[in-house]
Order: sequence, then structure tokens, then C-alpha cells
Amino acid sequence: MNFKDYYQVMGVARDASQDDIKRSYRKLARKFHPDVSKEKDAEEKFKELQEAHEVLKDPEKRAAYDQLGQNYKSGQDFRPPPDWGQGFEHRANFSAGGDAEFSDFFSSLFGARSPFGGATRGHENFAASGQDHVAKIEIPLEEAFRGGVRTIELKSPELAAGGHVVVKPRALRVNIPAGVIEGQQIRLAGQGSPGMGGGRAGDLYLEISFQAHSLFQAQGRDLTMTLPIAPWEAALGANIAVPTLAGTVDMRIPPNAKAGQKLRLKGRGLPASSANGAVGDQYVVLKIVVPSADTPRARELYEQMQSELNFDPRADLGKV
Amino acid sequence: MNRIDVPTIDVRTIEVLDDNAPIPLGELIAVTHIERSYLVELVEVGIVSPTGDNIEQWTFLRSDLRRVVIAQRLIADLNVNAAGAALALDLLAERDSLLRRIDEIAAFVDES
Repeated sequence: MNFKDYYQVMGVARDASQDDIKRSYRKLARKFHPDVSKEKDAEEKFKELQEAHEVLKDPEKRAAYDQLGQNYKSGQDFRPPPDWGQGFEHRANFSAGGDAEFSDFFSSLFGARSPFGGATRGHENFAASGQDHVAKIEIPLEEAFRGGVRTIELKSPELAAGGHVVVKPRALRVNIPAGVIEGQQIRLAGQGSPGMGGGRAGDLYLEISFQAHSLFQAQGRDLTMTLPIAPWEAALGANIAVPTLAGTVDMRIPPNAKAGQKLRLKGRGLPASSANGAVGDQYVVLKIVVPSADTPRARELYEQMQSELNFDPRADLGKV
Repeated sequence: MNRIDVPTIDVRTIEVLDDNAPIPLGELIAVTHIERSYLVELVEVGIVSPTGDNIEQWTFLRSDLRRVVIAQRLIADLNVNAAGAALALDLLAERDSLLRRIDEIAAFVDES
């Protein structure tokens, strides 16, 4: 087990006041809160922060941690000293509520079975439903379009014999049905925490998000892509093969099309998730790509347009 | 690679949840474990807007479940009140829609 430097996690000096710690915690909590943050490892960082806060906000735990922390550096191999927790007066039970979510380092020092944890209550005599769990999964857009089988690896805290919590890895093979969309949840009945004393098991909710796609952006069932076209295709109109998730389809570009114009391929978005549900559309945004005047002939053609077309792209600028 | 062998379970029955499905008051309370009086406060600040004339008849949407759960977490973890959570939820929705819009536009604008 590695030593964790809670001051480093919290971004404060070792002699920081309780107020400094509170302020820093609140600031970092807003930054890394998994419901708010877009950082990739926000959830992990937030848990680490909560763990550090759990110790540093409490003067008794902080004093005990300080005494031990002077000889260790962050990440260094660590074993709790045999006399850990002795000589500290503390309340009967100030073990953290979210103990199971915290690191082994925390559990060994401040968890339910540490000198700082209170006696665990027996859970044998009452029935309770297991907790529901939520896990986020990221799937490729193609999988939302076609459906597919996905193996999800989860680490679930479970109550073991003796009342302490162990983290058990498990894997679930799940059929992802075609037509799921971002933010949607899939319920796996009975795959949450086991119930206690005959209570029913909780459910597992999988929340869908999409991996970034090289061509398409999804909003609900609708997809948007940018289609590069030549100036003459925009001006004269054209039939162009456009990629969709189901393969290429021919799309008619109307004459005098404009850059940024949005055309719709009806029903080419993500499929409906039920028989009478709505099918998404694919939107195609036109991007006019101008060829370089890098040969004498190309220059000649541009010069011909310049002299023969009466075109002022800035005609509207003077009308202020 | 040194991997721990993890037992794999085949999940055969799954249910895709419809964000627009109606959720009665009882189910919302069962899932979120929220106190009634507290739920009333969340409704008053507009975090969720149930239909129905009185609290017993309140019906929510499935998407409201998530808003309530997130509001509960924001309130507990960030030390904000219900109105602050409502503001955060609205701004988060707006941010996400702007980020999607930026993604679309970024594909259109040259990186160079």
C-alpha cells in the first residue's frame, strides 16, 4: 500500500489552518465534482479529495495523520505502525460514511476496523434491499447504430463476512441494443449490491455516452457532419456520395449552395429504440474548400473569374 | 499482461429506459430516498417540474430522477442550497449543449 499525501491532494501546506483546508476543499470539489467536471479522471480525483478532506477536516484524525506523515513521501510503500491510534482520544465512532469508496491506505488508518472506526453493527437481523449502482459506459457511435455486445468491468464494494467492505472486480457481458442515445440509462435488474437478510438485490444502471467520432457529432438521435465540397459543386449543384453510419448515400447539393448551409438526410441518424419511436436524421454542413492557385493554369482560371464575374464578397460590409 | 481472472456474467435481460417515461411520486421517492418536504423545495426552485394538481398526484419524467439525484449530490458535496443546485443544473445543461455546438463547428473550421 502506498502512502498518500493528503496535503498534496488538497493543495495546502502542512501548517494550513482548518479554514484554509475548508476553502481549498470547496474550490477543488467544484472543480472535480463528477457531475460538474469534464476532466477525464474527475471521479477518481474527487474521491481522493473527499478522502483527504475526511482526514484533514477533523483535528483528531489530522493530528494522528501528521504524526505519522513526517517520515513518508507520497506514493512511498507504507505499513501502518503497530501502535497506530494509541494515545489519541477520540469519539466512539468517527469512521467515514463512504468508507468503501476510499483507498486501502485510508481504510487501514481510519476505516471501520481501525482504532478510529467504531464497532460495526451486526447486519444479520434485518432485511434490506441492496443499493442501486450507476456506471458510465462509453460506446462507439457505430454500436449505438447497430447494437452490439460489450463486456463491462466493474469494481463493486461488497460487505464481506465480519462486516468489513471488500472491493470485488466483476465483468458483465451486456447486449447493447441499437438505438441507445447519449445520456440514456440501461437497467440491469439485480446487478447492484446484493440485498441483506433476504432483501432484493439492487439494480445496476449503465449510463451511455459516446466516444468521439471522426466524422459525426450526435445530439439525441440526430447526427451532424461537415462535408467538404469544391466551389463549382457549390455553385453548380452536384450529386455527392455522403458517408452515413449505414454506408454512403447519394445527396443532391442544390445549385448556389452556401458555405455553412445545413442539408438534411432524413432518417439517416440513429435508429429508434422502440417500434414506434422516432428515427434520427443526419445533417450535413457544407464546407467549401478552395483549390490553391499553384499552377499557371489554375492562376489563369482564377484571373478569368476575377475579371469576368462581378463578385464582391464584401458588398454587405459597407452598409453599416 | 498479468490480469486477474474476473468471472464474466452474461446479462440477458436489460431494459433501456425512456427519459420521457412518466414516474409517479412513490417511485421517485423510492429511488432517490428524498424527504417529501425536501422534494417540494426542489420543485419550488424548478429543479424538476412535475405535472399533477397536488403532491399526491405529482408525476415526473424519468429524466427528472437524474436531475434530483445530481441535485442531491451537488447540495451534499458542494455546500450549495437548492436554488444554487438549480442554477448549476441549468448552466451545466447549457454548457453541454454549447460544447456539442462547438464540436460541430470545430469540424467545420480549419484547425490551421
